Amino acid sequence: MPGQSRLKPLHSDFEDAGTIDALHRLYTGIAAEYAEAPPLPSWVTATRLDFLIGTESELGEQGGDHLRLQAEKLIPLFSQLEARLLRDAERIAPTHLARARSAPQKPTGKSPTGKSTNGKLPTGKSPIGKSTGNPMDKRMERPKTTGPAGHPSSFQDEVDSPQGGDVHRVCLARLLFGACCEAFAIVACSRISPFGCRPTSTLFNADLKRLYKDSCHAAAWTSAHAHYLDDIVATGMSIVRPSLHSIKSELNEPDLSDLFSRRLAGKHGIPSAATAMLAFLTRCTNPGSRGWDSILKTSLEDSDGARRLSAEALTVSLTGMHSCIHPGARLHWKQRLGLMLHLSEQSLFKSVVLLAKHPLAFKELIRRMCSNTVSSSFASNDALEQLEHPVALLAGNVQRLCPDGLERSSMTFVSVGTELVHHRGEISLEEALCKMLTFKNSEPVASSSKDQRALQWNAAYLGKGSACIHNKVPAVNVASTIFSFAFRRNFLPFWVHCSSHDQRAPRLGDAQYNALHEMNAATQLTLQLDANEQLQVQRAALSRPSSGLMTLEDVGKLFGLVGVRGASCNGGSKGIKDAVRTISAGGARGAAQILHFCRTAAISEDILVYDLGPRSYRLQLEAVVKRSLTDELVSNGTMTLDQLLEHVPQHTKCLCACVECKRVSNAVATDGGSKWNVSFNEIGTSGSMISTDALSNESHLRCAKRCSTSLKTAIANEEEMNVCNIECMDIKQDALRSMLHCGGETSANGVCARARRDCKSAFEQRESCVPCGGEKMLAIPIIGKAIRLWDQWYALCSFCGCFINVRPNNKFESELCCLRCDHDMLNRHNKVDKKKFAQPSNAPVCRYCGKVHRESHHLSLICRNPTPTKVHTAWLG
Amino acid sequence: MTLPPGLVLQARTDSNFRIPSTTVQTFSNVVLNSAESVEISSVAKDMPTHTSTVSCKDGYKPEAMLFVDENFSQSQLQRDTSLSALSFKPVVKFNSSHYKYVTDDDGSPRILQVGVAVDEELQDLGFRVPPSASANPEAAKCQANLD
Repeated sequence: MPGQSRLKPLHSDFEDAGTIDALHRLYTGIAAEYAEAPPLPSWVTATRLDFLIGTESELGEQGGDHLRLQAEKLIPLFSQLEARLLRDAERIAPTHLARARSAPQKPTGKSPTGKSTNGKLPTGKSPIGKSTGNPMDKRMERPKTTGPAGHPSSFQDEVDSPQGGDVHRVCLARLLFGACCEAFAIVACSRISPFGCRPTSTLFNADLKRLYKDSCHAAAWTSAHAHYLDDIVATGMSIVRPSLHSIKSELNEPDLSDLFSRRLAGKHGIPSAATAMLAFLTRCTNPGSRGWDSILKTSLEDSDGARRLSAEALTVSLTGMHSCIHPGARLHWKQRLGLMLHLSEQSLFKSVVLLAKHPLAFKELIRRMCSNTVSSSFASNDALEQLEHPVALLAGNVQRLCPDGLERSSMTFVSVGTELVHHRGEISLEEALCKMLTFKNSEPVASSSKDQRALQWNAAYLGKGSACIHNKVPAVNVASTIFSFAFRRNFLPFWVHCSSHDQRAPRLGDAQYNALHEMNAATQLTLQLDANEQLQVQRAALSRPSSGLMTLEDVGKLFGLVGVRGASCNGGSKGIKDAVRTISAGGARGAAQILHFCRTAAISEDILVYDLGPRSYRLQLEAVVKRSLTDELVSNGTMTLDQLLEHVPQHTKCLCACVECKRVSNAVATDGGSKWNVSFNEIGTSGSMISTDALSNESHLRCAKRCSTSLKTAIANEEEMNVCNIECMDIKQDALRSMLHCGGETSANGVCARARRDCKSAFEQRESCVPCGGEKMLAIPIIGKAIRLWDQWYALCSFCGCFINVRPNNKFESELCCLRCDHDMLNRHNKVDKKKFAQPSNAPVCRYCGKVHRESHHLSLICRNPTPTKVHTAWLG
Repeated sequence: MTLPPGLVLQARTDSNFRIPSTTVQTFSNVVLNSAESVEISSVAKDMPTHTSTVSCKDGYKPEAMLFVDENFSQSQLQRDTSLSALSFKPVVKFNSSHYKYVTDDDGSPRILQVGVAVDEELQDLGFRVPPSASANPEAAKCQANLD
């Protein structure tokens, strides 16, 4: 859809993600500490394997002997180095490594569900009923270790085989290099803080954050190469070269920062398909669970996109391919490979719905994903941090780790993945996901020293769920309270008098309206200003577009008044007394100026006008003349645009609105471009009629809508008040006294509520009710302007001249645009090259020759090329 | 010219926010002498000074643009300063992932915007981004010209 964003991954390749630099950083640390670390050839960290060994390298050697020879030397060195690093890691933190990185358990003869398997791995059906041939077992068996060498024997066998190409050795060397870096990250992290703990001091936060992130990069690198090798070993070929996108990790999760930035927009700013995901992102930071369960249920049922993204996030969390966990908590790459292959054959798309049974766990899953997917917009995150928004706390920064609670819950997800590995796939994902409940009540890992604190999870670890935004209360609101209170003071006796004569007073007659408003103390105070002062104050209000948003303090400063400030911290006042006291601080004249200023500002707030500039004016003028055919009907070719404009109908160049029913009558495109496939060709006005003055012969528009019931009632009430002359009737002292002193009975009878309601409607009424069509419609010239009327922005499309509700997406080139321009309508008499401006269809198009695939054409095969290179894609289409 | 989205976010949500003295231009590397830098700072107070084209040929993708919601007009900053233009004129946002440092043949560094153009050809692959469906403002613009 035009004007709206599309999904793309956070990073495009290893270099873009910073993986290469991360690996270099880690290997520099290894080289500094371990003398046996071999020198690193440049090809080991090259971004793309294709560039090193060609695209068909698995079929045989392609003249890369020097790489093969180097790789053969490096493989044993890297293997020994990794084994040494893992031993060191075991020595530093034996407990966690024994638990998280232990070898897969042999079958005990009983499945986790208690059913006997007779000592054999179950085959055939997977735990969720899908026939998989138990791939977990096969995958887990293949990459078994061969003692201290630490690399899979099957990979080694392939390397040693005469058919093995260079790619095996080169890729294996790169894999083991990544494994070394991963192991070193565990060692380095464990030295600062053991698994399950955090240092109490924040001095090491930046170092730890760096190691967490670098470790994730190394894990992604290792797993991508392992996945590639596994494909070659299993099938003899691999379609996908090892890349950032080979496996799911936080590095290739979708970038949702643009979607998140639209959370404050209305429904027109967000694609409907993304609404569910946005609801997840915005609500996941709420500490409470109110509303979360229902959103979870409806979003997962209705939105495929939300379900798919959640399923991918679940894969990342289960395999630990993210930077929210200690590197030691992550599974070894061999076990990770088995788990990833197992999960790839599970239907996570369905399984994620099972996780919805544990809303708290699902929220933690989304929090982890949210922390990563909105992290690409650094400036926004920095601003969110300034506002103390919880998303900024989740995402962290280069100086700060993620919150303890997020790491603790992420560890629980990894433990579920570990559980699947230890049970060799015999346990169903649903059973494993039941572990999700444990992080809520799990005991913290015991810290070994005072310098370390154990990681803990509690529901409120993100604090409050909203940002610290202090909304200011405009002075207009405070002044409105004062005017209303002063009016009520006179209105209530009048209302009681009416009640004593069994007469309701929801509306005021003309005489009553004038009398009550003239008696208003606030109005009387403003009338004490002389005409010049009043005009000066009005000009001050009208010349400032933000006058309706200014606080009392701002208005006081404008008139040089000292001490005018509301008692409330948001610039407002605490009650009517405080409001009167505040404006009185500037003296009687100051109070009158403030009240008069606010009254003018409230009126000017109804209509805001923004000048779009001369270029927009010219474009819109041309478009309007074209749209109304004025140039063809009136001009003989000599008239200028400004002269033609005089002949353009009023409803084409002016925003026409009825102030009675508050309705804009022009044909307006309100969709914000969402209906881009349907041209907007409406013209004229709706519900309007032309009225011609018999004397001057001038025509103007009037609203042709029938009066609403409420308007009819109001007119009837006003007429009744005018007729009955209630103010001339005798005052019934007894009735008044009894009504004013009846205490709680009045509220019980709803008298107070009725009085309050009538007071409000009488205060807000215009001097007299006018039915629709009784007066001219409002006509505001709109060419070259954007106009805000009754909280909606209107403008003309700069290209076709139609009226639009201005939405954030209504932009094309550098101008406002309806995004639904109809060039056929604009060029009714001119032949246009339709092919040139033809709408792109949904039919597949060859990107090289431009040939469009049609249904009527011969059947053609659409090939999704996984590795688009110039050589191999030239023949496509 | 680019604008950091954080600036708009704070202007949108924080009523106490004021444009800092160091604005968009001064975030970039200093390449001019001090006198001109002062001039740039003074110009920066009146930002945005330029607009960007969107969705058209040689224009930016919509997702590369600064997103300003309709309620931004309820902030004092929008009403009183030229930031009001952000609601009606497209301005490209600053996102570090849209930039790439490259070095010329002579070794001098440059910074390139990547992945944000409508008709950008993907590097080295020979592919273009698939065409997105869109309306015909281009046609309307072309035909609306009375010259």
